[in-house]
Amino acid sequence: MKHRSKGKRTRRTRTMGLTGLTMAFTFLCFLLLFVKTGDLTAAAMSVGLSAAVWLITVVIGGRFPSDRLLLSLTMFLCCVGIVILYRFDSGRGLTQSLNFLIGMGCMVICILFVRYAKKWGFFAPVIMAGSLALLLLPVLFGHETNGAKNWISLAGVTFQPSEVVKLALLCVLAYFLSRRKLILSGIYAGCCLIILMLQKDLGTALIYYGVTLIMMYVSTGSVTLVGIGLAGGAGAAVFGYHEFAHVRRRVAIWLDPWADPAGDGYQIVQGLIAMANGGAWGTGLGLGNASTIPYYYNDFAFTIILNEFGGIFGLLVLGLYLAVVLRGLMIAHRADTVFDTLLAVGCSAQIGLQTFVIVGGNIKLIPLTGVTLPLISYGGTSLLSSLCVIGLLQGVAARVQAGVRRDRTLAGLGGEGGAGV
Amino acid sequence: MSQEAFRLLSRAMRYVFVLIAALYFLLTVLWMRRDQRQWKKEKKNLPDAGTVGELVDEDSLKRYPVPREGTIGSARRCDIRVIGHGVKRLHADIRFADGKGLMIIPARGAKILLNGEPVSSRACAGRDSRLKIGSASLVLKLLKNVDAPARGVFGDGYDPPAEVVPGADGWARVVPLPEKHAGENPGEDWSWGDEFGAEEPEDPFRGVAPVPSGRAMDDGGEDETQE
Repeated sequence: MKHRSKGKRTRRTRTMGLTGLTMAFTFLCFLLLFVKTGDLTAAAMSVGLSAAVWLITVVIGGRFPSDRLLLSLTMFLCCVGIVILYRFDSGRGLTQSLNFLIGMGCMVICILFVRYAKKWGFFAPVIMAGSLALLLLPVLFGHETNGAKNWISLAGVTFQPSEVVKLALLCVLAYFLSRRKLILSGIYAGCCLIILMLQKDLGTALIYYGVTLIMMYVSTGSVTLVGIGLAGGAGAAVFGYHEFAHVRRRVAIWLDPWADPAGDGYQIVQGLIAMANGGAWGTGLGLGNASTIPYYYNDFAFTIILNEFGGIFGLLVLGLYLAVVLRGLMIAHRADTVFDTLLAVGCSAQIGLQTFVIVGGNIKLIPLTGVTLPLISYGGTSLLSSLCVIGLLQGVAARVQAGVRRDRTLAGLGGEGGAGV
Repeated sequence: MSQEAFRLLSRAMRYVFVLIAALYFLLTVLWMRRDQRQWKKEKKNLPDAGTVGELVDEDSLKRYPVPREGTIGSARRCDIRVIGHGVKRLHADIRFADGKGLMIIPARGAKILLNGEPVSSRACAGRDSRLKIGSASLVLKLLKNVDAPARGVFGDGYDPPAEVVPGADGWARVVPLPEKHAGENPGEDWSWGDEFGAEEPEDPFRGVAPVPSGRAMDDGGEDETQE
């Protein structure tokens, strides 16, 4: 009994430590913005968002089965996103805050779904069919934005179906691969990739492809299969390069953005200048000039961080993403069933890959694609989707916790485990 | 506040923000390290975590821990690696379902006998069910508190009776009894377990080989892992 209460107390202290830091960061940032502009909304946000962080920690961390470290990390990254969006455009900041709160609700639904759903044999085919239909909608009724036809409007709400289908991909692949239905999994992932190619949404296709390959490797352990997958991916990349003009243009910009710094290379060049301006410590919140970058709130969120908060802060943010991925892999390692392991690996891979693709694009490591920085970039669908992915991971963590309790009960040691997950 | 004063304040705050992020990162790393250490400790206390019992080879008396979900076969990557004539690289998938027992799903072309009956698509094995995989004969011994039926629920529920006899090499052997020993109604005689209120027979494996796990098997023996 003593051990149990000590474990609980330690976890609470750690959670409150991280929550306190998130609250302090949010409060100080918004206070600074209030001092700069005298905008009362910023003052209200400094108190309101900090209170929301505390409340979410208490309610979700305390009342629902979840991994508190993952929850704390998620909230810190979301708060960084809200701060940088509010700093340039208060409207976007407020919308993002609202999306954050809605996303937390969706995350809870995902946690409960993964924790308690039993009929995956029924859900998986239904999700598979629904997701393919949803992914086809933009091809049929969507409108083209920045070269990709991946947005649709339904009842006045504009969203990107590929963001929603990301969740479906994780669940369906995890289920079918855990049941050794490799061909069916391959066909489903292949269909998704072909539809994404038709939409010309190659950034998202790259993430889908990477996640599928990683999940298949974890499931089968076959290097041959991964080799075939990599060869197929390379073939698709060459095909995409030759078939799509905007891909060729992006590669050309990536290779030499300075060839046309006022035209095609403008976005990357401005991004590189903003990063260089920031240096190690940043220009200071409210003093940066990153708003000159087109789509700074979406594609260049990481550049804004580097510009205003500096390179050291940026590295720490990347470290926190790495911590999210590692935590996901820890959860996968502790899971009892193949389905849980694959789901957790898939979620971690998705977050890690998406971060790599966009951060790599920002720092000119790879060609820039139109994917968002998970949890930070502006965009309702993107934030909701990222929080749902975290929710799926939390659901697996909840199942691990239940498994530990069951094993302790079986061994006659009492129900409460000491480990955090 | 003047522009210049704000500039000074904002530049000073940069260090505070980096400090907060660094502290956050440090606390995260410490949390993960401590948690990993705690998890290892937890695993040490629960060496059989994630398992539901053991499969005991009747010939060699070798014990294979049975995970809640896994595979049986001769390949190294299988969770239960059984080497023997007729055992395929991946012979079957196993999945434990509370209340139903251990579901066995043979791989394509793999032959399995559960309590003497061939398994075509899938079947559930209960406590003390007998599995014949290739040349290997295995008995399923489930943990005491695991929620599973007393015997296999495959087919008509009838299992041929068996008894333990000393082998030539001094090890115990589980051998099937002739049909006449089962009485008129075999189900009545051999439906062991709580649901029938029958007295449990003596564990055929007690004292034969040590149980490597920290948890007691449902063998009528003493629970060795009480706190």
